[in-house]
Amino acid sequence: MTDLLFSCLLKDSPMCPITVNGVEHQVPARLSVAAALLYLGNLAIRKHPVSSEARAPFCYMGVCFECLVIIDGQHKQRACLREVMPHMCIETAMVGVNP
Amino acid sequence: MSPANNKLSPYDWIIVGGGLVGASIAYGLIQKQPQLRILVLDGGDTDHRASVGNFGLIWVQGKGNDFPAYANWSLQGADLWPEFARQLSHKSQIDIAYQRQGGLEFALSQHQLSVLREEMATMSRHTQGRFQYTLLDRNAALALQPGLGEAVVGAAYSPQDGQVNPLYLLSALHKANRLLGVEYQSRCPVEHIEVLEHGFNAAGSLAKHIVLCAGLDNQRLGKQLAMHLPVTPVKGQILITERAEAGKLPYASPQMRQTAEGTIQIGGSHEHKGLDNRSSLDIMQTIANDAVTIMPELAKLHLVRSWSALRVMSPDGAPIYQRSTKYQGAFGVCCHSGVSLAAAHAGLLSSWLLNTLDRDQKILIEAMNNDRFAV
Amino acid sequence: MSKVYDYLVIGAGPAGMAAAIEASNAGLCVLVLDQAENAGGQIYRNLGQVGIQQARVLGPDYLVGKPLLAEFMAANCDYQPMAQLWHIEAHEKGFLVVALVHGESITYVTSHLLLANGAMERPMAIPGWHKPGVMTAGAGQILLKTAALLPKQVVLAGSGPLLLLLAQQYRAAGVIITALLDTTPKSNYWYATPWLMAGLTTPKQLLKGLWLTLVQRIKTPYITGVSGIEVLGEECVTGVSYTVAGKVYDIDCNLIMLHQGLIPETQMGQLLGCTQVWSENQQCWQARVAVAGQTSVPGLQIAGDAGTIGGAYVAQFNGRLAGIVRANSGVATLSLQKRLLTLWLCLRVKQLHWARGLVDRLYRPADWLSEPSSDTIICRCEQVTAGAVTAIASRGCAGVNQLKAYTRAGMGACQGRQCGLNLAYLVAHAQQRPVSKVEPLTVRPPLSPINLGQLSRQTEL
Repeated sequence: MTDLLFSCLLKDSPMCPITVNGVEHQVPARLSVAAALLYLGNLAIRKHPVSSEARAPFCYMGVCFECLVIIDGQHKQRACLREVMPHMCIETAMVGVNP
Repeated sequence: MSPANNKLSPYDWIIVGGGLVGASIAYGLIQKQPQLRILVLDGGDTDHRASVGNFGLIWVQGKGNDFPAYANWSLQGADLWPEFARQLSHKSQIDIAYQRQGGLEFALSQHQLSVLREEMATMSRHTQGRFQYTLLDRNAALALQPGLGEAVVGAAYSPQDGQVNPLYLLSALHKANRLLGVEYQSRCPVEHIEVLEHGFNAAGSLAKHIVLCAGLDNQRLGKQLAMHLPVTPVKGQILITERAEAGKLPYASPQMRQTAEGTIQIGGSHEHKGLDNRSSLDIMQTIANDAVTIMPELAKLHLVRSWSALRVMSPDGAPIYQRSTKYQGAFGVCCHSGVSLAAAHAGLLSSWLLNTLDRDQKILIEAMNNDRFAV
Repeated sequence: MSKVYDYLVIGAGPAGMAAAIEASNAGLCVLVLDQAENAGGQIYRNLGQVGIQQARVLGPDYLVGKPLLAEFMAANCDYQPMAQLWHIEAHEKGFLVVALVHGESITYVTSHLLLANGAMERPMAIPGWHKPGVMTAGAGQILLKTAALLPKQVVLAGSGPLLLLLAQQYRAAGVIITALLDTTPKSNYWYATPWLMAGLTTPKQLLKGLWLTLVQRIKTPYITGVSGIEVLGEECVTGVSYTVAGKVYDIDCNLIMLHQGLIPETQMGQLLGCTQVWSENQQCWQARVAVAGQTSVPGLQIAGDAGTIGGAYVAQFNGRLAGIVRANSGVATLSLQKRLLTLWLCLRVKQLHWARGLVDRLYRPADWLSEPSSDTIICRCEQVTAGAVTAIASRGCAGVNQLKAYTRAGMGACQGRQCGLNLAYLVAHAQQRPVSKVEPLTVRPPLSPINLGQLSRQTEL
């Protein structure tokens, strides 16, 4: 977790419950998973498989493959291309396995 | 290798082709006679390059079942590998990830297992028992490779098989050659070879000797030097997965192997599709299916790359080592086992080219000339 | 036996939507595959769902896409969102298009194919661009469009209209722009003057652009003639340093957004063997495309930014034209009205592409960006540095494909999208040959992630 670099304009939008690394959170509905992670203050979301350095989503449009996470057990999901769904279970790889 | 210079003064050797075969031969020549001036001419960036599509096995099992000379040659080549790898890694300072921990070929039916049994016995006969192998039933195979699927009935194992990273091998050969003084010219396609009074002119460079190591182009170039080098493309497709935990596949196999980086390479299709080297869905699916059948837990691994390349195949699958009878100093080398035979090419074959080989070895190599295709 | 579509359109941005509308109106059996959850492409991302507050910030050029989106949603064509395309190949009936949909790999068969998969941002490889806290300006805009997420404070760096537009939108929303580091070489203004004529053919756009530039120059801390940008910080971004007129400056920041224009996403066309040409004007490879999208591969069209960067308007015209031409297998059989429309669309596409020349020349990337310092990561996936690439290239390797074999650059998950262009520049510099002569990286499947289990259970539609 880092300081909240971003804030959200949507103050009164419906919220969606999601689980990130086992912890429940509420995020505005319709956010992409990558945006939701950023909304929650997660900038870096994985460790690079070669260098083990922290990495963060870069393009948010599906071309950099820096935002790979595990969504509902499915590995290598581009977080920027998936919208949050109620009770979606997201695992980032700052520790443990690589998505 | 250093960029070529001074095109006008003749070289001792021109090697046409900078793939594994050409680079291994240049490496062998310069080590045996460091004073030689050697030029390697290489092609363009998107030429068909079998060397960069290689599976990376140093494989003995089943090589030369119908051809005793090739069986012995393969085994000798594999035996030369440990020292070759040690020297090359030392000279180039590149770790080529060579391992000789043995290899497994999996059988998915009793019929396949009996075919393997016969092949191994033949191979052993051809090599007077120097080829070592064990035929494994399902339980014995599981003991070596845990996690095998239900369909695997057994495997053939040989301790003499090994593996290497073929790309690092190529890179190391080029680097070592450069450091040893071999000159190298890339993006230099050879259209025509001119025969001179005391040598050859290829792409504007002159040399006393010339070796064709141009893969599929050997057929065309061979004609210009009065050599019949009948090679055709056989397409092979490979899949490469994301990195898996180390030690998942302790043994090499033509069906799958784990690289030093941890990725798993799956493959080995054989298709006759001319010069088409595109990846195709049906074959990728078949390869994936076979892999998952052999090792069900691979199903969850992601594919990161696919590759397909064209093998340089002679009519019987064995190499062709040819000396031009019409033009003294011209040779042709064709083979699809650029990795398995790299040590043999650097060691024995370069001595054959220099005419410094003893009689028995010479007979062995010359048994693999093109007389066997005479009509 | 699987269904054979008459027209399969990849991408539901302006070009893809327009083409699908025209082709389905003409009675063709059309399928649109798109990787996003909602139609609109990057330009009209989330347009159907966006709130009033976001709309105010994003401005009128965003909302203008609404009628097209409505027309597309009403069109009589199949539309599959969230389709992650991972392979395409030529087939006896036309093309096989293979995509992962809800975790299942599905093969679609079509006689004709349109690639309208748009553009991506030109990778701006500067030291530290792989660190958390660096993202693209496009990313900043997507976060605004889809999530109404705004940074509190940001440094913007690079060159090009999108960077200025983002600055405008961020300022309107009250974001603190610590600095806008403009890397546009001053000589570009001089070189772009001959293109003013072209720009004048779209006076409204030209004025808007001038106004946008002027406003940012006055209202943001706008620093021109910037070079040598470096991202500072160990684990995450803590600052940025840059050079102006030989002097080095540092600023503290946690977030930096980079941009230096757009390049077409060419992977799909390359996979199908579509002839690529180097565009000197746009400094990238592009498929060789005729005005109605025809390529060197029979039955394959490319429209919109996936072919030539031109923006949303021309993409829409280009898509319509492609759809009409596909539906009528040429212009000869058209009604007079359609023939006139086709003619008008052709002229508009040509004119707008020509007018774009001004933007292309003005914002051509600075030379220093194509010669990154040796410790700069070029291939983010395999962590290969510019130094490693240059060392191999200067020994005379044949090109980027041989370089890939030696260094692993381009072998990672992004399939060379983030490094391909910069590898080519590095090879060109090291070997002192024009980048146009360096052949692009060969493209192979998978274009997006798929696991072996999914591949082995391939299903046909």
